Amino acid sequence: MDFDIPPKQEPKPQGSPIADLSYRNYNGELKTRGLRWWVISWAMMKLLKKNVGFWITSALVFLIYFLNGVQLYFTSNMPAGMNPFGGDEKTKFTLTFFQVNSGTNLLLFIIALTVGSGAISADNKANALLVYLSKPLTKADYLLGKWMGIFFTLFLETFVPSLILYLYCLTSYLDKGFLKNDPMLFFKMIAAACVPAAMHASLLVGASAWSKAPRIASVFYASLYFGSLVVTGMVFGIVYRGDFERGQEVLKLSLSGMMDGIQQIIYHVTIKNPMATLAIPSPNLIVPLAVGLCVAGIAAARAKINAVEVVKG
Amino acid sequence: MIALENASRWYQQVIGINDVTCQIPPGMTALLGPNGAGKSTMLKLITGQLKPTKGRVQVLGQEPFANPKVYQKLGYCPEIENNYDEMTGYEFVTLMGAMTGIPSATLKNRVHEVVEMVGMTVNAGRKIGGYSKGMRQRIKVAQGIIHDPDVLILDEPMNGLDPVGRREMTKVFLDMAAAGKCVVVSSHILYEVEAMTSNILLMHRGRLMAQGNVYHIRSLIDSHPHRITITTSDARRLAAKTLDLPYVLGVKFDSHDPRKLELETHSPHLFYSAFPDIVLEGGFVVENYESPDNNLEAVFRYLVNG
Amino acid sequence: MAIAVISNLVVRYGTKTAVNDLSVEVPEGCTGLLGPNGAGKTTLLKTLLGFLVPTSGSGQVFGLNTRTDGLKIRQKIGMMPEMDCHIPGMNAVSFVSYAGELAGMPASDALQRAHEVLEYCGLGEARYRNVETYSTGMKQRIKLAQALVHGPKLIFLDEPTNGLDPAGRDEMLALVRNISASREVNVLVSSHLLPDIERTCDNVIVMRSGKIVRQGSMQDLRQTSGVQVEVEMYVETPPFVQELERQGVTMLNQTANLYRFGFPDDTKNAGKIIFESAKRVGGQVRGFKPATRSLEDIFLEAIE
Repeated sequence: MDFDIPPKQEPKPQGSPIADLSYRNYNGELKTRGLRWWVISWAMMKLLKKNVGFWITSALVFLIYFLNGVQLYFTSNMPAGMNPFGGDEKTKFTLTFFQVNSGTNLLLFIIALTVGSGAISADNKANALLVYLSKPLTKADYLLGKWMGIFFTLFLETFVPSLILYLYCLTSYLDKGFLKNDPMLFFKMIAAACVPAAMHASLLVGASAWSKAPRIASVFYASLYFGSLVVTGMVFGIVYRGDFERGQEVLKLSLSGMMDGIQQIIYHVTIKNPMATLAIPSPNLIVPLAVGLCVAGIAAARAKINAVEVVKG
Repeated sequence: MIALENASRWYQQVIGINDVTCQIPPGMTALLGPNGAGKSTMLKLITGQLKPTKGRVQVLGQEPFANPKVYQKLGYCPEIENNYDEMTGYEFVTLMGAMTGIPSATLKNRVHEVVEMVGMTVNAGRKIGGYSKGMRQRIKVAQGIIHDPDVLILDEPMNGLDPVGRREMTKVFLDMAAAGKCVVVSSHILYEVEAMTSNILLMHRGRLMAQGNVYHIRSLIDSHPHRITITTSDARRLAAKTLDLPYVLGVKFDSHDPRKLELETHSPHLFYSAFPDIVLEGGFVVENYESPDNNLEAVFRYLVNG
Repeated sequence: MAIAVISNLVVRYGTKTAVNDLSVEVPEGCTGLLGPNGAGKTTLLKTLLGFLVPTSGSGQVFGLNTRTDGLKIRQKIGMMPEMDCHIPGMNAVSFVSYAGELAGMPASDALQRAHEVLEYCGLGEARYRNVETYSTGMKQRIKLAQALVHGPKLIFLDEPTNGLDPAGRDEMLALVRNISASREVNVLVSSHLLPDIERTCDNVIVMRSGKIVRQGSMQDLRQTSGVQVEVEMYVETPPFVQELERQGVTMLNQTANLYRFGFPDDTKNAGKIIFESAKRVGGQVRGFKPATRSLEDIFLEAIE
């Protein structure tokens, strides 16, 4: 489906001193459809430029990464046993990266709301879908554009500071076994950055498509996010009576828990803290569940956009 | 039936209407003006949604603001969309009717009567959420007339109606005006307004620019002499003959059509009386003979653009 | 030459048949699409845009099949919807150039063309302000601009004068007239305001209950049979009517002081008869012209 249209030659203008400013059509080049969705994603991301809240939250994210870097600096000279992360020498760095990803999950959620709640709902409110769908775009292009806008923003929010931290460790702790102990850390980082980005993107496009205003989508998604946290917390408290060893699987069933859990699987570390040992969760439950939720979110969005009438009767 | 006396209304610094004095009698009156002229402010004052910051507004002898006695006799069909999507047409009109105090014994019949008047008998059982624009408009009119008001205020009442619907609705309004009600129509669709009434109220930048019969107003606009276009095979010779008339101010020819000429005069009546003789004596064959600006649109343009 | 051809189109929504065996050719130039609500105009437009997969029948726009080449068709079509639609948070320039990019224009071309089209649509300095602050007239203009930006060969205008005051309406109609006069873009206008259509369109298509009931050029449709003349008198003048009838002229219609007369078919100088008769009875003639059927009459007759 390729419709590159090469530019037509314009006829040479006559030699009149008064320019002819009457209507003329555009006969220039039209690009292929391949990257059409990127136009949509880029427009979404440009909107963030003016959003003060976004910049403040991003700064906080960077701050957390920075603080972790500082912590690494101070603890690099301590013997293994005193390491506040509870990890041993081998897993110290991997653990740091996992912890910092986890720690910024809440901030990422806020950024997700900022970029994503208005993604489709603002278009719903302003009937902008009429414009989109009358252009040579498919609904898939539109949805992909919106999804990638959220995904890419969140991915960069995690990946960029992680990369900086990684480079810092690379230059400072090579002798402490940074690369040697975990050669795959770079790729784990990328994969881990994709997890919250993909989940938020999928669920938010679904929430946004079904909402008539950005605020409604925010409220809905926030209730989903925190609601799942509360419910799993209650189940944990009632059924397992706070017993971490046996009940931690339940905690991994909330939205944030799933993101945490999958990241933990990717990084492949166990966390030992004074309360309990958080083992690497089994992927059998949470991975399909997470994937299922993503698919559900995207399908919900697609279903809703399909129902939009371009030309109203 | 509606009277404004030096009424002004402003919103902090922004002026809505400025020192307007007028009386709107029973019958059909058109409220016209460019966007931002103050028409909506005026309608809000008349329907009692706002109080004038200065001056007085009276409807049926009383001030309309928060006055249920006036509301009972006032019907209002606003331009904005209503959002009673979950109700059916019948339910909505019944609710509105009940709110105006129609006793429940007669309410049901009256609802059916009014729904039939607006042509919604077939669709009134469906939920408003599924209505097209035209259907919503008809239901809006139904709720405005259900209590048989003495004063009916209509803001763009034909919005969304197809030509058949427009005709039907025009008839409903004309019937009400003929029955002695005071009907005020605010619209931008001048040719439609023209078909309904010659009584206009023209607003511009918050001030009342003109009020009365549109043709009378036209005859008073001195700065724009009457234009009359004539199409004939012998345009130049005919033009030369008309120049003998002292009240013909100028003659123009059309660069695209040599058979057309346009002349200007301050005294159309004298011209219309004298012209036939010129034609008959000279043996001219006249195909077209009309005054392009003796209509509402021209009057509107001249008054608003100066 | 037709720019779009629909053949034997049948469209069903569940059990409801919206359009049954519809065939129409949309000619070049500016065409008005008329019909009562529910006539199937929307279905027709959606089929032309390549959105609807019909139950049977086919459609072609610029030689492209509507079933399979929907995207290519939409590349060549611009749409000005009736409802307000704008992308929040943008000003006119960003909005229109965004629309151009969505249609595939390179970013720099889109921006340059956006300015050109906004200029043409009469939006001056206001183009740098946020779209949400615009008046109705300005919103209509940017809707038109976003439809034109990618250089379509056909634009759909749905109620283009919606909400405009008389001055705005004049300007919008003049704009539409200019665009179609440039011969580079074909226009299809859907409106309930028949005088708007009369002023801008060369051709008319009238639909009713999913079928085409009348179609043709404005000129042809408005022809009257025989010699008919509309006469405006100063006041209602019954003796004038009688005098004319004495000479073999029939009165076809009267509204107050406006009359429509049918003259004998061989009449060459109706004006002379009118002036003489008026003079004889002492009436004042204020104007006369060859009668054309108004679009409203054509419409009402077509949907009877």
